[in-house]
Amino acid sequence: MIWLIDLLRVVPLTLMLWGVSFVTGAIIAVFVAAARMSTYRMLRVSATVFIETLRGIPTLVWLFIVFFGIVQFGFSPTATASAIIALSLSCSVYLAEVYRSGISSVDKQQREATQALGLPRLISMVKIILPQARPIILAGMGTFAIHLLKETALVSLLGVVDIMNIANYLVQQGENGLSVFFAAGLIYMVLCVPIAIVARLLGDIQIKRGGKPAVRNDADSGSQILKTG
Amino acid sequence: MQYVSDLLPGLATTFSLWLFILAIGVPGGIVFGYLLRYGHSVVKIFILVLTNFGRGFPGLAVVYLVYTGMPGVGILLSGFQAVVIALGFMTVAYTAEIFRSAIHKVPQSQTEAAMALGLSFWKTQIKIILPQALRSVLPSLLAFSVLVLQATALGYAVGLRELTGLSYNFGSITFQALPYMVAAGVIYLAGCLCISTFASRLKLEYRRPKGRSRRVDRASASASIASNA
Repeated sequence: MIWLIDLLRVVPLTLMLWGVSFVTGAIIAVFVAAARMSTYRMLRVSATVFIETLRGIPTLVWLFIVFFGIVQFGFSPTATASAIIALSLSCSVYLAEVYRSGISSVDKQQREATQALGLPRLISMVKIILPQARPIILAGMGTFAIHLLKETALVSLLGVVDIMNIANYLVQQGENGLSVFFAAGLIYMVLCVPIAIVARLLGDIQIKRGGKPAVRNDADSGSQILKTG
Repeated sequence: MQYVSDLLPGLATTFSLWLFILAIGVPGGIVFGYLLRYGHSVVKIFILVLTNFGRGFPGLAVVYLVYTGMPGVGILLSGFQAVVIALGFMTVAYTAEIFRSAIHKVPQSQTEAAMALGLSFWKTQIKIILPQALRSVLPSLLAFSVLVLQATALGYAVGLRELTGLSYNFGSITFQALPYMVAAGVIYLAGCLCISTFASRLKLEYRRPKGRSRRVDRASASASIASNA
């Protein structure tokens, strides 16, 4: 079991990849979502094309496209840098859709009321719409954060020395594939637990402040279906 | 265009992978869904553990686990078989919960009416419950099949010459890695758009048209649940 230490040693790298991609993606997503909901047709169409394209291409292929694409422009990125760029971009389109579905879940009358009051669009968004959309957005972000963590396993195929890469190396050195890859998978599962807890806590805070009790995560939505159904 | 036509043999492999995975995954998901609904509690716990592993592990870890782990217990698998088994298992894990809730959502009165008519349990399920459950689950199943199509790109990891693997091969032979990868991405994109267009057509047919939500993703699903509540 000495190989377990080798696997655990690269956990920080995986977490770094995940964290940087998620934060960068979340920031880019704001602009993508804004463009997607813009009143300008051109912006809206191009954002839709961008989102649909990135969602339609497998993440692995997207990783390769970004890697080879950057090389084409004469840069020679490290595998880690291009992995972060690719993951951030693919993260941004998913989160943009999360933002959008959260914002469009708020009643239309709310926005109309702010218009009637003559509030500027930005203030109405920040003060009125977003606080109501927040539970749904946070639930979606939590789900996607877990998905993204599992997605980072793909960067090993690009040559980044992460958990899967080390696991693969260990198996080539003659370790038992069954136990090594099971341990690697378990590490990912365990890493997901704190993310799920944080997502749930953030949802709870919102409820206590008196926001409407929206869906927090899958388990809760299941019980909510039972209650309403 | 020449790049795309070069990759067509890979498309055939990808497509047959997709078909095999769904042929294992969907019936398996129905069986697991039934066991989750009606099974003995020991069976339920066993299946819950199994499906949580299937959903918590990264796809790549499961593929490697099957590919390099199975020979350790005396089962030799080709890359193709390994990918089908691994992703088929993950499909079962993901769809089991979908089917369980779909079976659950069919009103209890239907079962009672069938019982009053003297139908046996299995006849009730096959003739009455299952058709309704399948009908309600079809749009989200189609949305999931898009994810399966993208997941087949993992075949590259075990040296399979499907779309991704083949384009990587061509790319390294001809030193034109980027055009081949982009061509592969375009083919995946076309496949995904075909399925999701078909899915949204079906959805329009089955349900009341719902304007903005084109795909059944978690975010919009939870949004609609929240608006029901």
